[in-house]
Amino acid sequence: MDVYARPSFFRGPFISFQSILKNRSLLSLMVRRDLKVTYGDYFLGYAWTLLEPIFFTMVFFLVFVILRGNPDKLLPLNIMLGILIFSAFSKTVSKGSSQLIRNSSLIQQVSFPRELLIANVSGFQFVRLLLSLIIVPIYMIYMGISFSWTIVLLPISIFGIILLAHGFSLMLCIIVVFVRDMNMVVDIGLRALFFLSGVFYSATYIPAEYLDYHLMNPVATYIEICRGAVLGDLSIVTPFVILRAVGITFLVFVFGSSIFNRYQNRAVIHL
Amino acid sequence: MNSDVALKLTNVHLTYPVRKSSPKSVKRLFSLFSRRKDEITATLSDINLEIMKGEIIGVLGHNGAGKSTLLRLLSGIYQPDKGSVQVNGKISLLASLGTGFQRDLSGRDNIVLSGSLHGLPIEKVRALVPSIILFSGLEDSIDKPLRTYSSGMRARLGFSIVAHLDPEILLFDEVFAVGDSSFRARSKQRIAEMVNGDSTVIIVTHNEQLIRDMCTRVICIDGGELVLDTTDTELAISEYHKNSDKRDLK
Repeated sequence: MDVYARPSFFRGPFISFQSILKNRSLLSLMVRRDLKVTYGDYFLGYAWTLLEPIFFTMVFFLVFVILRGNPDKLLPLNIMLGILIFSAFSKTVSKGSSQLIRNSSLIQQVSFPRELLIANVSGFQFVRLLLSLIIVPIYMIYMGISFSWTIVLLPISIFGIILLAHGFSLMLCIIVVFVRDMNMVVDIGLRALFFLSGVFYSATYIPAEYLDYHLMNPVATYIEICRGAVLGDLSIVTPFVILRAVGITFLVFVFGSSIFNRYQNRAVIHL
Repeated sequence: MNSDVALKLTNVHLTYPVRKSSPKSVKRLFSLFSRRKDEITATLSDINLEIMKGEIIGVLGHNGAGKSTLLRLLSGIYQPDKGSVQVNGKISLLASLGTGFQRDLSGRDNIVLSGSLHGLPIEKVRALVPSIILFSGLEDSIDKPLRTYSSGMRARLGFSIVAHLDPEILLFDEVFAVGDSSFRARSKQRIAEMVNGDSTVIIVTHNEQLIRDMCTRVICIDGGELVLDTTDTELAISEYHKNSDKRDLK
């Protein structure tokens, strides 16, 4: 017997987690549907997950290495990793924050766990990021860069950035229902974050007195963790920096899922 | 709750926007999650209703009276501001055909997706796929993308999926008639089977003949309030007309 009643604010993360676990088959079906719809019709199919970061890396390589004459041979790889991690974050937040509005007719017709719509975007971007990362070992072998034990830290960067984006999406998708202008704010915010997160420059270029401020941004930290994990250099991402980013991510997720579960029912009425 | 009770609403109250307004000042942005004073709202107020298993209930009311909102409350899409909604059994709201359809996927893939969104386990939907395809009569085009289907074909596929959901409590928001005459006859027969089976059925409709033919009990809603709950269908229909006339005079 089901009794519909309003959930308490702090049970949000547990409700989200339980709901995703219970409906994992449906979530997996939705992610596979999106992969099929996104890449299924293209001649190059899933190769686009590799071509997109390669293209942007070439553009940055042209600007910073060839035109500006930077001699750093690792710069293209640094840029590529920055682009991969940042675009996973930005696409998850951008699409996730408008998921309730885009699926309003479905939501008004069927009762199903709405957090699946947000988890669907996060899951899709997670798979897309994994597929895109295939280019990294190929590039490393081509450039003669050896693998280090630090590669074990790569999952922290991948899971961390997706969970962080998922937390923001859960929060923003509710706010966007009440204030549609928030879509524009998200768009502008993501563009600003692109320049502030060290996507096309490594944190080694940041003056020492500002480095800690830079790494307070968890997106910048996850990009640096990814670079450190691949290149075997953890001089910037200390255990404290990693734990701080993970802690911020956890707080964003808890707050985001609490907001989502507390206000989703009122948001649905306003769709 | 008594095990013979399928649905129970106790002191249910829900305010919902009839016309959506957007905040125009910064001050209003701060009252995001509270109800804004300028918003035009309607209210379902103090609804108390007990529906027993196997009953076939008709819901009558003019447009905007709160019929569809009531069904959304019962199906769990909306949650009440106050009061409680208790549901005893698997519930399905059939409000439109083709829920969750994706135009770039094939008809077959859409069956699995839509069936799963309606709450069926994926394995069960996969097992039902041949029967759904047969019922829809779309064997020749089932593996083509949905974007190549006509609207009639899409509606047939949509109806064939909902006809196989087999819920214990079935909510119809306007009964549909789609496809050609032969498919319409099969649809009508399938609806009758669902209604005449063990299911508890709630039908929102303006079709008075349907109420006379199928319903064992009728409730009338006016202005968000439950104004009549009776087993006398003729009484309910005449009350519905009275309310409509009053509304026209206003």
